[in-house]
Amino acid sequence: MLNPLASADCLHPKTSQNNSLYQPQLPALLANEWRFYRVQPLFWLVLLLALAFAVLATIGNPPQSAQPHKELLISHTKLLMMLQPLFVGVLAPLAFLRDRQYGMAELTGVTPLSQKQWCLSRAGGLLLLTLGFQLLLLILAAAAVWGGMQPAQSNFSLGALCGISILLFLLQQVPALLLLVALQLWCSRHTTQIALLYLLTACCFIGYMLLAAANGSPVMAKSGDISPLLSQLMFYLDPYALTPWLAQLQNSASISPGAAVLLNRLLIVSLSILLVWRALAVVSSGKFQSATQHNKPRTSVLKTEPSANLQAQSGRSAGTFTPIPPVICNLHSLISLIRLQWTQLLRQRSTVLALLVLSGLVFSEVFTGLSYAEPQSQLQPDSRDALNRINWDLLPRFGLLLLALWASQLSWLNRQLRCDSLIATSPVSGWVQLGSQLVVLWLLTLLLVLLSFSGVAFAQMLLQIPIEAAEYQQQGLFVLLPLLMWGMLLLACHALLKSPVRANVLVFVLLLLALSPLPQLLELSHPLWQIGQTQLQMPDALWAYQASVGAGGFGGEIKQGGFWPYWLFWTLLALSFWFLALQFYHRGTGFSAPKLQLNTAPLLLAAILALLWLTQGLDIHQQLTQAGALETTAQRQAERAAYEQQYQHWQQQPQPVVSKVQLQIRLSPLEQQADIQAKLTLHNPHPTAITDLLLTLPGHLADRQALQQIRFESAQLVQQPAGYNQPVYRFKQALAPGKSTELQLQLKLSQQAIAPAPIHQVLRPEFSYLRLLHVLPQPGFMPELRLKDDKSRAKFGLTPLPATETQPSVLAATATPANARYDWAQLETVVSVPDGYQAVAAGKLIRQWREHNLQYFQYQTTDAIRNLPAVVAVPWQAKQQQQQGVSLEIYSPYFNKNTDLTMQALSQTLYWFHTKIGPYPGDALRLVMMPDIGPTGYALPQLVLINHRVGLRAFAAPDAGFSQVYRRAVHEMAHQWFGHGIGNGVPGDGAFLVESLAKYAELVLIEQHFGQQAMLALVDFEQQRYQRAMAGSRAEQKSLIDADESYDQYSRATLMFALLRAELGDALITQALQQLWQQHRYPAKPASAMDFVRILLALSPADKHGVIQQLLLEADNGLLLKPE
Amino acid sequence: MLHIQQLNKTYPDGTMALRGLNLNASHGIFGLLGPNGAGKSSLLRTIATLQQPDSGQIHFNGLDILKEPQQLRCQLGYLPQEFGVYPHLSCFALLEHIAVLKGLTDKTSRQQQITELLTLTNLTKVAHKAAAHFSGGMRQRFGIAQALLGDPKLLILDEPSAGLDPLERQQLHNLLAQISRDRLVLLSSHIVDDIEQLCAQVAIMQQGQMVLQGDTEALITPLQGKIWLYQGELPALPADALPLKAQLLQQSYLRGVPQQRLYAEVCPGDGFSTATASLQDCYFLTLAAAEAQLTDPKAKQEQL
Repeated sequence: MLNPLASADCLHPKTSQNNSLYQPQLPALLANEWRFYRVQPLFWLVLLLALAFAVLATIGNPPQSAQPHKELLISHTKLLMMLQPLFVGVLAPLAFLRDRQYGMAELTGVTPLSQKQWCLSRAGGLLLLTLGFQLLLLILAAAAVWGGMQPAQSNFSLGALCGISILLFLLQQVPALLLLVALQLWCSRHTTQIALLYLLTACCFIGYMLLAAANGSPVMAKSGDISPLLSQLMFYLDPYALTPWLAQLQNSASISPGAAVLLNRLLIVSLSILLVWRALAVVSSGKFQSATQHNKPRTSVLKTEPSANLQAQSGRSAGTFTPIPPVICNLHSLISLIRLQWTQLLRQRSTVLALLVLSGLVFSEVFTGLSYAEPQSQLQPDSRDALNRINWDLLPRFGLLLLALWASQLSWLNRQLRCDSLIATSPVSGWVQLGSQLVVLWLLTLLLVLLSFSGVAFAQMLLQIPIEAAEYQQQGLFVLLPLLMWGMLLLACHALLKSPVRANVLVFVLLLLALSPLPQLLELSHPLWQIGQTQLQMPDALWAYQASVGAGGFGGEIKQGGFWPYWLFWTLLALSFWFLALQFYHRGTGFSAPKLQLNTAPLLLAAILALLWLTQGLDIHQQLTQAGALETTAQRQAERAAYEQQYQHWQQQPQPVVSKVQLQIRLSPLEQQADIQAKLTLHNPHPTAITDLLLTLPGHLADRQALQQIRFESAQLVQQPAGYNQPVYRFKQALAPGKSTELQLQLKLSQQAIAPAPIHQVLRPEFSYLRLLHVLPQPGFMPELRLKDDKSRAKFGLTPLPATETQPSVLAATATPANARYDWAQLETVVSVPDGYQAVAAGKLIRQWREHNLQYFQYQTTDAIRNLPAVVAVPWQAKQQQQQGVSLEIYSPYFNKNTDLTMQALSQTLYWFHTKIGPYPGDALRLVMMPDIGPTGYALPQLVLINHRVGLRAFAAPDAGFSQVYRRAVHEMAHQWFGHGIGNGVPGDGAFLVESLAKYAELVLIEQHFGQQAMLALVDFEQQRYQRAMAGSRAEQKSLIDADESYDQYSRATLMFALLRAELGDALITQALQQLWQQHRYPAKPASAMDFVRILLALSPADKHGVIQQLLLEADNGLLLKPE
Repeated sequence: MLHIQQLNKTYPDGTMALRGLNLNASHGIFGLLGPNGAGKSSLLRTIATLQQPDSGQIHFNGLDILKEPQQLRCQLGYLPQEFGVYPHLSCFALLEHIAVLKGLTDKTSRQQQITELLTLTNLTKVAHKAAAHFSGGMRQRFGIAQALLGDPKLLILDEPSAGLDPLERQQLHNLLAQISRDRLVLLSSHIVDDIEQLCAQVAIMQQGQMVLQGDTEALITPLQGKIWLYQGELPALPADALPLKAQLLQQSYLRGVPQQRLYAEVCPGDGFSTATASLQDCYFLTLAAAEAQLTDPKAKQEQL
């Protein structure tokens, strides 16, 4: 039945009136649409794939949430933004361009269906189909939220969940879908190219993610609010209404749509109606007809000419031609094919548009975001920063999508144009045909990278930033090589599979594994599951690519770098596929059934390459295993659970403490190795003798390989360290009270660049840093290694930890718990480094000398400090200053205004603490600039690391109210008192005494030295940060003392202290802090957060107790929220 | 020139397109007849190296084309039943592109041949117009021109006269007759007249098999004197009124008057006159016999 309206015809008998002989009815047309879709394999394929993805993302990974309504909103938005554009995008060409695609345009064009009815039926069919699919998504999201709800939300009923689901369906799904379908309809009225619709889909898909990330949306990881204008735009035009909805949820617990949400929905629906109206207008003005039948007028003109010619020739007999024997020249054929395919692809509007869109995106990304370092702070960028904006996310992802599109177009170009048999029967070998496709694809890739880099260079020129050609070459190579490899792999897939649908499905799966979080969802954590990806990390100004390529030359070495081994692995695979494709190529027709001929050269080559590929894969796997990079979260959890189950009873047994740590470290940054000899003095502080000793090796299994020898002459090993077992010793003579003994260890750490360096164990030429907590054994049971999360504990049969061990306000409700104990020791460190390097550790620099071409540094702490030994080696000199008798040193590759400001911050903070709280608890403070590997600042006893990107290269923005450089230096310096002075030694006490008190120091120091306006600017900054974090948070609201969310510990604490300062004044707060310090500093009983509350309450007038308790001990944050 | 033995091809959906097909053809024009779905296009595609058979052998001038398809492609001209063209390219540019792929590397001689072929196919005036905008007939003529590029020893033409007007069709016939003297032209067509006019050898296919094959003249001659024509409405005749083995071949009209052509050893009755036998009579008779054999294998022997 060719006439789509035939069924309608049966239902509605013809009448006698001519003009109403046949009136198609919309329901019948929609039923026709369903009859069409239900037999389309593509529809079922995309439906099943999308549902499988949704199941994995929801049911397979149920979110733990304390706010189900918000969880549902965010989970559902995530599903929608991931799947809706793709689902509609795949089906839109079927809905709107199928007549033309399958040569049915003339047949359907002559049916009595009006263009309006055509539009409504096609769009309506797609809309209803997608709504059905989305309903399933909603049910999945609701089921996942229901399953992940915490017991505290037991008052949240199933009915409420259903109510919210219906609300989301009507208000979130339907308008968003209307807009998407209207957009596809409008676009399809202006083009007949399927590729353009796919491009539109890609733009919608990537565009929303970029916008969400740029707007700080909680649906995107690593997102931040970049522009207020963008925020406003998203507030009104967010297609999923997430932005206004979250803004509403900041001030209200109700998810019922407010005016802003309704306005947003109204705008989206209006926009959809406008698009549909414009699409219909195209029809009524006759554009559509001319678009679908544009050949006709030209054809009729052309037809007349040969007819006239024939008239002239009618009397003549047929002529003849001179045969030319062919001379097969592959080069000629190759050039001709390349030229033709190149022009064919470049003449397609989709190609031109895609390249323009990409160039525009690149330019916009670099031009608008290049100077951004962090809020209130601007970078002084260079070419590396400019290229980093696009080279690690936008360009590879967008480029890969374009590559997949081009590979498909190139592979099936002849078949799509129905001239496949003409080309396939020509004596051009499959090698030449495939080779020409590869050359064209590679040329297009080169063009894509060149255009993108031109966009970057243009943005740099406008911003007057010098262009460094060498950086462009390096980064160009790193982005181009993987794309070229992808090009070969994708073409090989198309050449091997005879059906374009199957080939595109295979490509889609490859792209899913490469670009989406699917491997993580499937718990495929091995890096080789990320198809075509290398482990190369973004370069920074301090150590370029050393995060991932180690000490190798340009881009690392084949065996060591994080780029080359992976690239080689994937290239071998692509080459292997390529040679298989050369053997089994269908010549673009999809007809040929491959015949297996085992003795041909391509097959042999493919087999050899496959073997090499396997060898390379095994080598990478072994290196990753050695580097400990393959341990999964589940394995780590199992290890911790086993530790708790096996050794928890040791918690009650008296164990010695480490009273002195003597370290001899030979650091070889160029070889990426460290040899460590440690001598731990174990002291028995208990009134009873100790017979047995548990040594906990806190690091994961990989670190145990570093442990070469343990010498413990006064004890005998009774349990070997193997598997989950920790070493257990029995003293030959029980360790008497007050007595000490020595334990000697030998460790060898070496680091490969096959995986990115762990954050606290970096051995690289430009920057080496070892925090030895993870490699040195600790005596006794370590309660902090227990699993905290109830769900994880339940998985391993462990009961939840009681509030008396995890909730600060409970565990120290009346007094500091009895098990609180400072783990402090005297440190003595001798470090040797190559010439030109400086070694940095805690303590006073006792001696420095040169021996055997090595520089030796001997550090020693005068008194015991927190037992967190660490060492840093850098090839830079220090800038030094004395303050209150304490040496303040900054190690940086160069010094500028920022280092001066940092020194000022260190000095002023030290002075303030010295005068208000207590003297500096150490011998020196050394601040070292670190690469951009994660945290912006990190404090160890007497040693501070500051990320050079924000601490050295970024300056306060012109409109900034305060300096982030100064603030951060104050914060990290404050940790020498709050964190490494007090704030440790009470297991389970949370971060209030560490992070929140450091925020108080920020407020005071900034106000003291930069004025009240600067302090208020900091408060305003934290207010915005807090409200934004709250909007996306689904965690249970807790009191500030019990808070475990970072936005509470930092931003909420800042707001709380700002309010407390206004209520109580600095004198009172400082007095409380001083008392806390004096009463609890080492070696007194450690302080808990509740000790601070008790002291503050004791010092405050009674009328302020209410506000103090509300701010510190109650979950309600109403006093801190600023109305929108 | 062309020898095909026991060729079999079954598509993934189970359709048996070729079933133990045998064929021998020497130079000249070889006509291939058969109803839709008989397997003609499958056979031509297989000979043209576009698809691999499941089993069987194909040799052309001693060349095993299944083992050395590339060698055949060097001497092959192919016009498929349906084909498209690249957009934006002129007819001349497209012919030049295909000529290069066919190994015509010398630019001067290549362009000269293209010019000649354009003249032959009456496309000279539209040589620089985009081929994608050609009408059906013009596109078909372009297809013929591209098939003739080079020096093809084997020309495979699948429905070449589709879309051509009578004059163009006549010119195509002249051209094919002229160029087939030293090469093999495999011509597939539904128009039996075309085949009769052009082909010295002919084969009729049905359901993937050759049901009849031979010299055209030799196939028609035995029918002479056994084809009977009846003009006007044929009166209803009792079953035993027709002679044994009589077969109604064709019911058609001539200027509105019904015409019936029957095959019978003797005159079937009053009103019947003898008619000159044609390939079309042979075609219909063969198909009828093949059909009868399918329904009742003994029937063929009884009828013929």
